Order: sequence, then structure tokens, then C-alpha cells
Amino acid sequence: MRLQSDEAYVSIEELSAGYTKPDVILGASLRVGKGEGALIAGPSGSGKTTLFLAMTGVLSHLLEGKVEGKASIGGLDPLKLEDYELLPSKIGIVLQDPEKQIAMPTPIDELTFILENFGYSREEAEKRAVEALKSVGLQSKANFHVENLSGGEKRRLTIAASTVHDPPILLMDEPTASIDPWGIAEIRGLIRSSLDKGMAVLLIEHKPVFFKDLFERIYILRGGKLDKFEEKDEMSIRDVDFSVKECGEEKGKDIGSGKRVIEARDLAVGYGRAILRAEELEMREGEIVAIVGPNGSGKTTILKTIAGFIGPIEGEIVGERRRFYVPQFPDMLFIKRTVEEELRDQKMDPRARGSLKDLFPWYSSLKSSNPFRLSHGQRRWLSILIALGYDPSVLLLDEPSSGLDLILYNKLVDLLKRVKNSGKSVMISTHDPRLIGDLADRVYYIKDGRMAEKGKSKACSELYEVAGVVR
Amino acid sequence: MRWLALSDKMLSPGAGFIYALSLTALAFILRSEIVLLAMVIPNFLLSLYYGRKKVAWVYVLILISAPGIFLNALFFSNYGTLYTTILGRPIYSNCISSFLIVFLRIAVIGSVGAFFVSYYTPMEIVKGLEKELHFPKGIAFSVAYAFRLMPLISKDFGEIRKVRKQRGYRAFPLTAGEFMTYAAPLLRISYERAFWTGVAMELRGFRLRGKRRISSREQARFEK
Amino acid sequence: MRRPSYTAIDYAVLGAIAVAFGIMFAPWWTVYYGLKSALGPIPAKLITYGLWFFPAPLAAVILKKPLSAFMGETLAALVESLIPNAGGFTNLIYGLAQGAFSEIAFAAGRYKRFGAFISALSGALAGIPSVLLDAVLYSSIYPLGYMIYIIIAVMASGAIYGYLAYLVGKVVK
Repeated sequence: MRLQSDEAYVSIEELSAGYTKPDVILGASLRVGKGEGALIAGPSGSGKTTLFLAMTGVLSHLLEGKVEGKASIGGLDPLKLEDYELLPSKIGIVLQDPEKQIAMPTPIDELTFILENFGYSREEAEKRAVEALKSVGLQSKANFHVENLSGGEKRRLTIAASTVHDPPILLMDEPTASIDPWGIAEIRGLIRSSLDKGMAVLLIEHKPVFFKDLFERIYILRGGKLDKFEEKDEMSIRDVDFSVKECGEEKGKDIGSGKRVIEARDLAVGYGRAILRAEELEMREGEIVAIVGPNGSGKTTILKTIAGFIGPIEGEIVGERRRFYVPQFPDMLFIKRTVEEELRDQKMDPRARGSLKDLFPWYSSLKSSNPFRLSHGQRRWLSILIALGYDPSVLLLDEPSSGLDLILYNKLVDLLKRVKNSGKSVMISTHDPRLIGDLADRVYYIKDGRMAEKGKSKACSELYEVAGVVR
Repeated sequence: MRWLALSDKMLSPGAGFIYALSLTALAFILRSEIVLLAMVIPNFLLSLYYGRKKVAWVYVLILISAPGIFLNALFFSNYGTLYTTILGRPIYSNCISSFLIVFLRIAVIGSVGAFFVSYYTPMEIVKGLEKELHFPKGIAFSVAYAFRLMPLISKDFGEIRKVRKQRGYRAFPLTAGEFMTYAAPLLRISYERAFWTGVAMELRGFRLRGKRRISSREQARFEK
Repeated sequence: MRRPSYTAIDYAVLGAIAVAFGIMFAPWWTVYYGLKSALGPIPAKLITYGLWFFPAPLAAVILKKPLSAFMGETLAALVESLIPNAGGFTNLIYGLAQGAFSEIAFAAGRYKRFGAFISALSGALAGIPSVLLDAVLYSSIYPLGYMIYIIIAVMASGAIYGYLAYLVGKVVK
């Protein structure tokens, strides 16, 4: 496919943008041309997503934001309404979360809807959609309801949707925010093939460690300012994940002693149909156990089964009765109007309840706030504290590190270490290799529907390997 | 294989929509038990044929509402000529006819609705609304998106209920205040998804929809 | 002067409200019947009827655009009509009427006010067409006094849920 060189480029000049005033992004400039790629990294709150929304014109035209400066994408000026409306034909986009991108009930509907937007007739749209589904291996599930696809399949669908109309430019805004190393490998594949095709690729990320080898141009966004990133700066960056973590020793130090708090043999879990099997599963007092696997492999399901939300399909789980499950969306846990009321809920254990507010770092300023008004990291924190208030012996955390920036992540590790030292056991479902190295005493690894114990450093390395990271 | 034939059905979705809506509207005003019954029977049979278990429970609900309708008729429309007595209480003709009319109306509404949802798939309905009935593209998109979300939000709701139970609270809201503690997280999570899906759809050409047709020259340009 | 038009975001949000409402509403019928047998129809209506009107003020408070109350209610109603349930297409008929009446409240506020009072008012107003449609459908020729009680109960219920919609709308965004 021949791409005109004047189509495949992205450039912004002295772009300032914000929601009420142009104060979130301050004078950012960059340029990416045909066959070139640029990676923009930055800590949480640095405005990465604001930058994406600003340069695509979404901030100006949909969100009543304020944008100054110049932007040019594929020869169009997204800041002008007429060009903004034509922009989609020049760009393919991949956003954070497949659940927040897929709009239609089935894969084929999703792709044909997009193609019809661009004026393809129904027959042509169908044809191209089937081709695109074939290229990501989803043609056999073309008519499945999206909810019946696995997490990886949903990711592949969004990848197909991003380029089904053959745009010259690829823009990605934090595509790994809630996906796993398996998804990361696919995104890397997309980036490579797009660059090969001569497309211009722009990736905005907060975990650049997984991508930096694919890009020559790396920028860092800090406090609204966009600067080129030099290798020598790497050591001074404390709040962005540029380097791969060490994976720790084979087995955690505290394994093997203590009584068994959770035990199961020949377990099968799922909703009706078994999606995950484990020959044996055990957890001892004071241990942190990590359940690792791709999205949709059953990590959440097994945690919910242990918590008693659903019954196991085969086998049974014995052990300590007091288990508390903290869902992936902390919001689901909140009942009261203020943080203070949550932390002194009458239904909690009276002793445990007393110490909760000391564990909440922002208590004095936020105690009268509505829990829903807290930032993502704070809500996650609050949800874990609420769980502790019930004084469970077994704490079940579903993806606790998802969406946390480096600073909060480190705080989380400290908190969980304290919880463990107080004699509780914690089971974490995760696909974050850092948690394995930093916290896990024991790791159960899910592959092809089966879960088995695996050595810590092996599991950790395998995750990095799956993601395609060079170490 | 045609993935998306608008409909190879005898009655296209747009026409079916008009049919169901008209029959429902008629049910509000018809007073003839015979006519109403005649409307119920074919829809009832067709809906069970196409829908089976999915719609059978609708009829269970309709039957459950029957005693309530009868009691209503008994309290407010019990006059006319004497028909019979039940437990010593006289039942007059108007009570019976009132009951039958209302019950049959409910049955018409339920059965034609059941037929409609069992005969068409969700996307057929959406296409029918958009292409045949010329609903605005935004509305058609909303409905399609609603179908996409249903199992997802259903799961979320179930999870909220279980988490409430875990915290020692009732698993279902009974008062308006409790309702709010369910609605708030559910809507919040749903809103966030909808917001980003909306952004994605805007950047995937939603505004262009229905405005342009790709010429065959342009289509050829994309062929390798 | 820019006329606020509806974006894909607005339509997606309306779709999400419709589904969330539909999922929460489905088991509410059982609550209504349960309360009706325990407490009688008027208290039962008072406590539960207003939920029907919830999507309109909610959509208005979130989208803050003209016609958002009407669209919120109508889309929720349309979605209800398209899934298996006992109401079928009456949902759509009621929804159009309820949406229109709810919209009046926000129109009266010149689409500049989206606060608690106006949300409650919009919920209350939607009660009027609902009771009238009920009267036609159920041939419920009640004595006038009883009718007045029903209208008051339904409007009061609508006001409660309208107010709740305002509270929920505040935390959702």
C-alpha cells in the first residue's frame, strides 16, 4: 500500500491545553513522520490523556476544553471543526481498555459499523470486516456476543478495529493500562507492523519499559511540559517505569511454615462451564499468594469462588472462614456518604475498625469527602482498608496495582507487607510482574485453563518474556 | 454466508416494529374480548415458537398479575347483572367483563412484545430502526450500545449485590436510599465506559456516518 | 452562538443509563408486588412507582443539554421494549409521555438549572401522564377521591426518585 508522505504525519507546535484554562499541557511540540514512531511517557497526572484529547480535537469540540497552539494530523487541523470531522479517516486509535472501546454487540458488527461510518456499502463493509477478523484470528467468533470473548480476544478486536479502514496514522493512548503481558505482545506486534507499513505511530504510555525498544523518539511529559528523553536521564526518573524490575528469588522467604488457611484439591471454577482447573491450591498463614494469568483466564473467578460468591464446579475449598474479596472496581464496595462513615461502619469488627483511619494517608483532608470523589488510587486504598475493617483472615485482592502510579504502587507494597506481618494472608490476582517480585511468597500460574504453582522468578521472567521485553 | 442480511425474514424488522407498536397502542382502547383474544393467540403461539424459555416467563408474570386485576375489578367495577357468587360474595357481569378486558389487553401487549423480541435478533432490530424507519443514527447507536452493555452491566450489578452481602448488608435495595447505593457505583462505572466508548466512536467516524459514500475509485485505492 | 448538539459520547451515556436502569428495574416489579400485598397499592406505588421516571432527570443532570430528559427516558423505554419483559411496547408509549412531561421541568428552567428542586419537579411531572395512561389501560375508573390519592402518591414518588437522580448524577460524573 502506497502512503503519501504528506498524509502520514503528526505534528503539534506549542500546544497548550486544559479543561477550563490551557494549563494542563504547556507548550508541547513534537513531530512524527511517515514510518516513524514516537513514545510519550509520563507519570500519572502529567496530562498524557489530556494531550491525546487535545491533539485529536476531542478536548475542543466534545469537552469544551481550551486549546492553544497548532496541531496537524494527516494534513488536517483537528482544532478546526470541519477538519476534526474528517480526522477519523486518517487515524486509527487504540484506547485504554477494550471494555471502554467496543461499542457493538458482536465483532462483525463492530467492524462493519466503523466501515459504514466511512461510507462503505454494507456488502463492502462486510467483506473487509471478515478479512480484518481473519487477520486477528477472530473470524470464527464473528457473531459471538462480545461478552463471551476472552480478554485477549477483546484486545485483538480493538486492534482490528483500529486499522480496519487502513488509516495512515496510529494513535494509542495507554493501551496497556489494564491489559496483561499477553496483550502487550499484541500491541507490540501492531506497532511493528504499522511502522513497517509506513504509518506514523504515536504511543502514549505510563509503562514505557515494555515499548521503548521499538521507538527511536522518546518524550517525557512532566508537569505539562514535553521534553525529549535521553538515556542518561533514566536514572533520575523515579516516577515512571522505565526499567524492568528484578524478579527476586525462587521462593519467598516465609513459605512452608504456618497453618494452611486455604486448601483445595481438584478444583474447577467458572460460571456454569469450567474455565479454570487447579489440581491443588493452598495458602498458609501470613503468606502472600499471587495468581497470575492473562485477562479472562479465570483469575477473578477463582477469587470470587474462594470468597463464596459463586460455588465451585468441582471440588471444594476448605480453610479459614473469614475471607473478604475486594473487587477490581473499588467503587462497588462503597456504601456510605463520606470516607469517615465508611471507615467506622458499624458492621465491621470493632477492634479492627479503630485503626483504619491511621492507615489512610489523606484522612484529615478527605474524611468528609464522598468516596466516589476520590482519585483512582485513593479509592483503591479505601477499598482495601474497608476490607481490613472486617478483620478477615484471608484478604482477596483483584488486580490491586491496576491504575496505580509508581508512588502509590510502592505505598501499596508497604501496606500489604504490614498486613501480612499482622498475621493475615493475602491472595492477589494480577498480571503485574512487579507484584510478584516485590510481594509474592508463592505464585500460581495460569496457562491454557490450568493453574499450577510456579517459581517466583520463573513466573516473573515469563511474564516479561511474553510481553516481548528485552532485558 | 451472509452475516448481516438486513433480514431474510418474511416481516422485516422495521415493519415488525410498527406492527408491535400499533397492536400495543390498540390494546389501550379496544373493549371487545373477542378481538383482543384473536390478537393474543397468534402472537402467543409465534412467540413461544421463536422464543421458547426466553419468553415463557413473561406469560408467567402475566398470569401472576391476573388475581390483582380481578381484585381491582371486584372492588371498583362490580355491578351489572348477577353472574355468580364466590365465597358468598356476589359477582356481577361488569366485574367479569372488566377483568377480562384488562387481562386480555395485558396479554396482547405481553404476547406481541414477546413475539417481537423473540423473532428478531438485537442487531436486526437496530438495523431496522436505522435503515428502514430512519431513526437518527445516534438513537440507533444508543440501542446497539445498550445491547452490547447488557451482559456487562448485569454482571456488575450481580457483583455489587454480592459485595453488599459480604459487608453484611441486604443483597437487594428495598428503600429509595438503599437504591441509591446500588445505582451510584453501577452508573458511575457505566458512565466511564460510555464516555470513552463515545470518544472512541467519535474518533472512528461517527459524525461521518450517513454522510458520505466511498466511491469505487476510493475503494480501489485501498486494494493492495 | 453554538447550539449544543449531541455527540457520540452523549448517545453512549444515554445507552448506558438505559441499560443500568433496565437491569435495576427488572427485580423492582417483585418489590412492588410484595409491598402491594403487604401495605396496599397506594403505599406500594409511593415507594416504587417513581423509579420509572428516574432516567429522565438523571440524563438531564449528566448531559445538561436540551431534550436530554426526554431522550433519557425515551431511550430507556425503547431499550425496555426490545428485551423480553411483561410490558413490551407499553414501555415505549409510557416512556415517550413521561419523557415529554419530565422535559417540561427543565425547559421551564431554561436549561440553565439542573439542581435538586428541578430534578424532583421533573420526576413529579412524569407522574401525570403515567396515571392517565394507567387509567385508560386498566379501565380504572376509580372514584375521584381515590384517583386524587393515586396521583399524589405517584407524583410524590416521582419527586423522590427525581431527587435521587440528582444525587446520583452528581457522583457519576
